[in-house]
Amino acid sequence: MSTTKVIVGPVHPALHEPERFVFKVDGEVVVDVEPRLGYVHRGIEKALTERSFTQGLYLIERICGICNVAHTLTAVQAIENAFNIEPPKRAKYLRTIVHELNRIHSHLLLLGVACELIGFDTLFMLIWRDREAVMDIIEMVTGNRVMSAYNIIGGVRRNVSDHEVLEMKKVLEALVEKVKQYKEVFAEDPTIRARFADVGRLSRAKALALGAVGPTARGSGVKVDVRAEEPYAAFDEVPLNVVVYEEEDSWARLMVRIDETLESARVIEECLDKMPTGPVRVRVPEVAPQSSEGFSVVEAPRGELIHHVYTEKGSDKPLRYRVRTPTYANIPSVCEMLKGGYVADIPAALVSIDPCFSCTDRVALVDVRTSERVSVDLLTLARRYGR
Amino acid sequence: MAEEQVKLVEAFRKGLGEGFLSYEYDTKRRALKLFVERGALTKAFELVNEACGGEYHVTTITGADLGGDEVELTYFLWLLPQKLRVMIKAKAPKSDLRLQSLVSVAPATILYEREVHEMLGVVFEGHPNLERLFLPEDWPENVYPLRRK
Repeated sequence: MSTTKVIVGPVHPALHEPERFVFKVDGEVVVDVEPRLGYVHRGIEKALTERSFTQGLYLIERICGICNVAHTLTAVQAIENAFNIEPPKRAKYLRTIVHELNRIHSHLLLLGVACELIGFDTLFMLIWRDREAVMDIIEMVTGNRVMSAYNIIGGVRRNVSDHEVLEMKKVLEALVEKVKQYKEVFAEDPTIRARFADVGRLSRAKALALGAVGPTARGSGVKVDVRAEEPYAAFDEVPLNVVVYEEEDSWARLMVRIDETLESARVIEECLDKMPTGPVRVRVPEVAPQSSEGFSVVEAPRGELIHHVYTEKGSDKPLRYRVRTPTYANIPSVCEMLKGGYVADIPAALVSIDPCFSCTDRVALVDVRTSERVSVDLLTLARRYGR
Repeated sequence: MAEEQVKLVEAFRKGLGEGFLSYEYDTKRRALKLFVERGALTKAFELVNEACGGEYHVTTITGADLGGDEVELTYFLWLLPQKLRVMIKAKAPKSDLRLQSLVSVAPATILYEREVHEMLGVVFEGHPNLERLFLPEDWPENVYPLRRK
């Protein structure tokens, strides 16, 4: 059997940040996949041990721009756990609200990109148009569209006014109507079904064994959602309905995200109604009050995110800081998804885990027998074979 | 501690014997820390597997050099049926950084072990591929970025 190696990346796959996959293909079928990470390894874990906790928070926010709120939330919770601090209740509600707004914008971003990748540009533009409204309310609440710097150790940076609460409710109400329409399109449209249904299969047993997280796991029928199972922030008072799909394919993973967008909007509305009045932050010591360790697990838009911190009494820097992001946890699963599938389905399967890698979209094809190397644009690859 | 946690501690005490060192319970985070000998890790994972019928999730492995003579490894687990957060902790001396790879019992550890290997120099015996994962190809041999002097 003659197998050909297809190198995808390092500047490529689907969206955001570079990563290289070497695919061994037999004709059109993917036989094996070998990932190579680290193209944007910035040594953040090491850098964090050289910075004070407060300084570190701004670096942590920059681990990922899209889910920056999830990262700062996890970080402040892990540090509060090590310091033994309890933030005020109103702060916990505000954290939940901004966290869920962040999830809505992230899910809409991915759904749009998924549409664009299969050539459904109309839906891509419609979804991104509606995502803008969410970006605007994030800006209204936090002061910034993307890098919100909202969570701080001991609470949040600023409060919301009654006027802002009303505005948020208005925008979300309109958004929910739109997302319900998109859900119908995703559920029934033949183009979407043809490109995503039955593509990138990941069985429940494999998802569990390979440690899949977030929508990737929930699209394979694994009922895991940190918000429901290890409630943090205000989730102990605002219960969550976990979205699970049993289809085990790319389509199911996208449907999970649509339903979660609706669920997030519901959670925000419930938080806005239940939110108590009071302070939004407490004063915290600058140095660690004890030698200890703390960790926090949060359901980021892409899945379970964990930060683990060791502190040393009297030091303002962490002794060791560990971050494990959701896409990293999903890498073994995505390799499994791609095996046995077609080359043309690589983008559709990759995009379904909402990978946080490169947006430069470039693919190199290498024929091992002749060492001939061809570089093509991923979008071209997706379109040439995908339509 | 709830009944489920007590049960797991008992299973560890019985199943690992000398290999089980101690346990701690973080009430605030509702997390159970189990300290074991490094040689008992494979058996410990088998006990977890038994306790939850294979329905568990390996969240991550943290390798930490805290400045002493040892490297501390923390395995974060989530047991689905019991809804239990478990941290299994083991230490290895810097002079002999060898541990049994857990890939055969818990495939999800495959990348985490590779990362701990390249960042701290811990050798996981029986791991299928301990090549570079994050560090560049021209990174010098035997230099581990997260090791303390």
